[in-house]
Amino acid sequence: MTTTTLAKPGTNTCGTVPAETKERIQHAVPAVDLYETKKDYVLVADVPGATPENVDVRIEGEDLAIEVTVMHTPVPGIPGGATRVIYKREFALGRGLSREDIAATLKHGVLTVTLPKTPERQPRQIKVNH
Amino acid sequence: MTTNMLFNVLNNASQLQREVDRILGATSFWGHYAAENGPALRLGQDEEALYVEMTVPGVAPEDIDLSLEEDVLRIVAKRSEGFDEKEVTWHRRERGAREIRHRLRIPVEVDQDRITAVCKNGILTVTLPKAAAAKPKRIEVKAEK
Repeated sequence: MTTTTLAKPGTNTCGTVPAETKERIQHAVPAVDLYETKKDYVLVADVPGATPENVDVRIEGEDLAIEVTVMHTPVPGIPGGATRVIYKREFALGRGLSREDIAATLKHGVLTVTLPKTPERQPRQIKVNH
Repeated sequence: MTTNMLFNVLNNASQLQREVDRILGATSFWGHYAAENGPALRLGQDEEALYVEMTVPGVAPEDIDLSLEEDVLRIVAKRSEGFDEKEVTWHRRERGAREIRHRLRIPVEVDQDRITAVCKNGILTVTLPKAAAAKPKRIEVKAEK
């Protein structure tokens, strides 16, 4: 007679941590748009699921680093379970930016970082004399 | 000095990461470039309902149009940008189209009046409760007397 032993719920043949307590970690590179207006450079990053308390925007030396952590638990019917998503990307800053005035906002899962140009880099109208 | 040099995007290594993800079959739900991957979508179901989860970053809940025509769920989500297109100079565009459109064929009968949708922080979740006829039925096995 063959005896089949059923695994306890949440375990697998590798004997790892029960599935319901295991949190997946996913690293992701956010898609970004970068555009320039007369006064600013604007960096826009897609970080769906993000809330303001888990957004880290910092200047380290010559780099601007963004790191956003999203804790996401889908509805029970969606496979995958709880996931910690870490969005990370770095950018090299050149001269001509007013670093003290860099500002960031988060709305509907989109992070917008505004990097104002220094007054010297902003376009100036040159008057043409007759 | 060109303006591109003023603000360089460093992560060209991410190209490699994407390739690795593609080969390993890692889901790009959270991932990289919407323009290349199309809308990120996950589907699921249990005994009670079908579920659709979709990333719609930058879309306000009121700018999502959901409709069910026969067995096709149509999702149209519009992203609004806070600038005048004529006034800006683009250096990089990875975020894809401003309008996300997707059509999904729903394989079972659903209770149309009880469909719900929630959009929070750029993630849309649609719940389509199954019609009674589509739910699994438990068949009792009686012991023979």
